[in-house]
Amino acid sequence: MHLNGVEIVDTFAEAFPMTAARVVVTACNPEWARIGATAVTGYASSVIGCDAEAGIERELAPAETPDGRPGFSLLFFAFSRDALQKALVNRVGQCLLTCATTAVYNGLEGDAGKSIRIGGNLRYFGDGWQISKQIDGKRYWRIPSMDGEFLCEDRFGTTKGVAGGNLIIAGKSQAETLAAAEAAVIAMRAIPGVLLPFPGGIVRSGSKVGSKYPALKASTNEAYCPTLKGVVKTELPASANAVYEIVIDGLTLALVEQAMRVGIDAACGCEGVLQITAGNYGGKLGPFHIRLHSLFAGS
Amino acid sequence: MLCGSTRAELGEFAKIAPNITDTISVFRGDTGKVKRIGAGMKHGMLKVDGDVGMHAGAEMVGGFLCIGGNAGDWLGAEMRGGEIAVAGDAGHNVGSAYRGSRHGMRGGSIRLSGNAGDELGLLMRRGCIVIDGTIGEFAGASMIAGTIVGKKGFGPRAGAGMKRGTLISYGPTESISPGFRYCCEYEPAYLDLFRNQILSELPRETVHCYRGDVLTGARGELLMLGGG
Repeated sequence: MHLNGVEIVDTFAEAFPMTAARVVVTACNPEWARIGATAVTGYASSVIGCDAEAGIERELAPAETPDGRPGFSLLFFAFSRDALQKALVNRVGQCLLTCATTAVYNGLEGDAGKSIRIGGNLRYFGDGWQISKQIDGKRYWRIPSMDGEFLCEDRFGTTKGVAGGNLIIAGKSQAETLAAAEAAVIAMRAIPGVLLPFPGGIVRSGSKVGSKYPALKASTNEAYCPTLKGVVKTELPASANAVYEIVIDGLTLALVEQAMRVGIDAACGCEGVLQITAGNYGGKLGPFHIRLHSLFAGS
Repeated sequence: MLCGSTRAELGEFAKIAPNITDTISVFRGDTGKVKRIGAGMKHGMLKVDGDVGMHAGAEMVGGFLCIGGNAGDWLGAEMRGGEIAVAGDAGHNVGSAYRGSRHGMRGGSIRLSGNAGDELGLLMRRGCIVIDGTIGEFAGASMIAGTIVGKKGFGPRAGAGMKRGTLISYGPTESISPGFRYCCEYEPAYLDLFRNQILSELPRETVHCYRGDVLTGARGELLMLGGG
């Protein structure tokens, strides 16, 4: 199958379930909200080495936030609810409790009975001076701080999301391939409920499971490294000189599929793209197999 | 119902028409001395065109009680949920605990467009009371939690003995209880949330924060907006 002259490989992206939460952070102005949002979603590219996968979903206008202040919507993914709660308590405690003027709210109704406790764990920082407030059935904690108080919702909803959706874009040159990946990222980030957790939404170090070194869980995927094309069993077209991967997490499988579809469309509209494929582990890793050709079945 | 100490049928005093809907009931006529209207109600809407007597909405757990006139003492006493709106004034002990009880209002909200009497929110534990008019003495006394908003300030000795909870004052408060200490002037994020979710007319101003009552741990707060 070809789209705009670009080969779409008949393969599938192998995705797996992860627990997801949406956090809304607000502050006195957009700049401080952005600082908080950036800090709390830092070092969260992959659960291979991080406690969670996280990123900014979108900027929120004051009319869209619970307290009428400017804010950001953030998405967090982890392997289990316990892991997600631990990661969020640590991250909110270290990066938002400490950040000037911020307040933190739940942004996801979530599955019934599957909430995690964030404000309820952070309240102890108040050392007995914390104040609980209930508004419209939701509990909030007010923790005294040096600039006034930190406000954090008690419980956050969670849902079973989908992680590990991916696209691998191979191109003629590094510049052209990066431009295509950037175009795909812009298109994919326009979809609410979708997270591209890597820096700029793009991965240059695609990995395979395992390594010749027993201590490593993952190592470079030499089949997609142009510099090794002549010496290993490669998966790349002969004229490919650069490859970028885009990893996609989403609140639902449909969102991940939609993101992959618009991402492929956008990348195929760029110069120098030779091939788009996807990473999988032979179907052993996850239950969701997103076939690239099926994404365009109706069109 | 009881008329004095004798049991009587409601139909002897009032004409009972079918409900306008399943969930709306309407009281018309002279109900100023009828006690316990809406007491213990759980759901639906109860509308009273005129005044109501004592204990209206007491111990209610849900639904909406809308009073077009004035309310007597003990309005919403020990209520646990639901909503009460009063167009006129109310007597003493709105949202309070009954004598001997440990907790007053434990949930829901009361909105009073007129004035409130003494001991508003006595031993209140949760919920929100907003008073547009003036408030008598000892509002929020021995309060355990919850929020009381006084749009024309509070009367003398507000918050006396309060353990936790929040008093928000728009206007001049006659005198601040001696158990309160001035802390700072700031902009609580909580008030932004409160304004956005509950009381949109709350002015966007810095507040003067007082903590008290120091005799009971000083975990309560009196937030005075602007020049309050």
